[in-house]
Amino acid sequence: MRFTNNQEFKKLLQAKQKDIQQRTSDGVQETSQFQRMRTLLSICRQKHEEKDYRLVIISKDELSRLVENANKCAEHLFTAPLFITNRTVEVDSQFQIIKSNNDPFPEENNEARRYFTAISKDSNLVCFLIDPDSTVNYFIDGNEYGDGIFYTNQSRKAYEELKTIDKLEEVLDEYRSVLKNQDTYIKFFVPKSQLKTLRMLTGSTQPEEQFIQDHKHLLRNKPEECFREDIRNYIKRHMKVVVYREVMMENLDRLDIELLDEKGKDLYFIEIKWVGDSIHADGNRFGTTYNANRINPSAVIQVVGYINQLFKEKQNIKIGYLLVFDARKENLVDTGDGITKSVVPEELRKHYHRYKKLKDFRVININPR
Amino acid sequence: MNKEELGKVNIDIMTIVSHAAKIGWETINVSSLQRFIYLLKVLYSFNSNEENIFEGYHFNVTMFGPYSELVRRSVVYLLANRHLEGDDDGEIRIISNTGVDKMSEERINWIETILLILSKYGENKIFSFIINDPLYDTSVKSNLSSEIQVTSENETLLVLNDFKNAFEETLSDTSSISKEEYISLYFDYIFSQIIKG
Repeated sequence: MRFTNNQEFKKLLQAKQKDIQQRTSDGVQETSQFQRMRTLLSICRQKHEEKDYRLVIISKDELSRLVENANKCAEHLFTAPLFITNRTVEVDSQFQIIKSNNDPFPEENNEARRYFTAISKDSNLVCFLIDPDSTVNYFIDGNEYGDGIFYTNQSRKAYEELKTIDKLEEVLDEYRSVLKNQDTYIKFFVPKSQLKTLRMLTGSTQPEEQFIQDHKHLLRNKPEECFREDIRNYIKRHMKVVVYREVMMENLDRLDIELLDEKGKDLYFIEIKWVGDSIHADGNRFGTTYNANRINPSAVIQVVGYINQLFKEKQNIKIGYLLVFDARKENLVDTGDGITKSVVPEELRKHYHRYKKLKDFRVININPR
Repeated sequence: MNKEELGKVNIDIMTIVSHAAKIGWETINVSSLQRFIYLLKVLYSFNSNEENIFEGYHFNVTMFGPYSELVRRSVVYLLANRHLEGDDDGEIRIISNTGVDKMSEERINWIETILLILSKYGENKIFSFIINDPLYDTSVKSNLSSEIQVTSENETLLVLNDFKNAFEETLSDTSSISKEEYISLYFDYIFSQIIKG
């Protein structure tokens, strides 16, 4: 049981008991009129930008009689000169301004809170404070609301600031620099202790330090999983997208990382490859070596083939990325060098413009651990 | 699908698009509409022990969320007959009042209830709620192409009941919390999980 057996969740409920009871029993917040008004104020602020806060006040009685066409009335309110030029307006059930003033709000946060709370308490009014970013906080019966029971508006704002799918390449560029951090790159490579064992098992005559320096670029066994998970988690932490891994297509091929925008509309995918040397699964000898010819042309054809398949499946595919982790010992030219449309079979070329090879993601075990 | 079935769905869709406009969603995307109707059906099973009034809808799992052929056909019909107008991005808006609210009070209220709960988060969040829906998630994991089975013991219902039970076991008085409010609180909780990532 996800909730009844979850003591943390129950503790949270206990801590929020007062908020929950206020929210569900004040006779205002759960009414459709209140919810509609809150939504309309937020949506209208999104449409009509403003750099300043606005306080919209309505009596409980007027709110309970909110008109059917409140959406149109709210639109009028946000374009009314009296609304634009006054910080505080009191409206009726038709969003007509009854009173207004342009008195400044207290600058200090707590003082401002007390000021809005007092208005709601003293006069039996419901106060909506509209933030320039369209967040709505509200005050009822001397209580302040706005945050959810389980989240804060601050964390909501932080979430809204996450990057959208069109910024994917920007995020991947940031990730490229993260790869230079020891805490990041260390997880891809064979640890120092294992290199020492490997030296003995392979009967190397090289001094230990020299052997470590010469083989510090050796990747763990099956590094693709490690690379894929690391980048997937980075995208999840920094973007407002839905990330899937290893999604199977109808022809049973799998996409390494699939990304859908927040609306679940546009599809992108990333095919992950690596070049370099990895250790064998038994850990006692050298394993697989991949070089640039793994990328050009086979990986390119693979990605364009996936795009073709997604088109066949009528998916809204935008771009298929080929992302290569370059852990080769030497600094070599990009694995994408020399890739042209002609490497792709003719029947797939119509999708070539939706394929993109990203500049190699260089990973170097600068300081082995 | 017969004419009568299509007629009922047409009325549902006209009503949904009309009520969405009242909360400021001047247009709604066809994909959101599919997802919204799925939520209407699944959440109804928590709200009422009676027969599900949205039983007629059948959804299949797709990468982009639940999909009902009935909904697609209805949208095509309503666009062709100029009751709705749409653009190339799949955004539709209402341009006639034909069929709006021509249904039971209970059905109208449920549509409005779910719309108002979702309106707090915005249309863009519906997809995130869908992929966090227990029944949808189970359906995705079991078989990508099968129909989503909204039985009387479906996963969403089990999770929502468990959510409600946790409140009842923890709080001294839950008498003021209606089933609709539990759904609202549940979305609040899910949204907090989405924010945390």
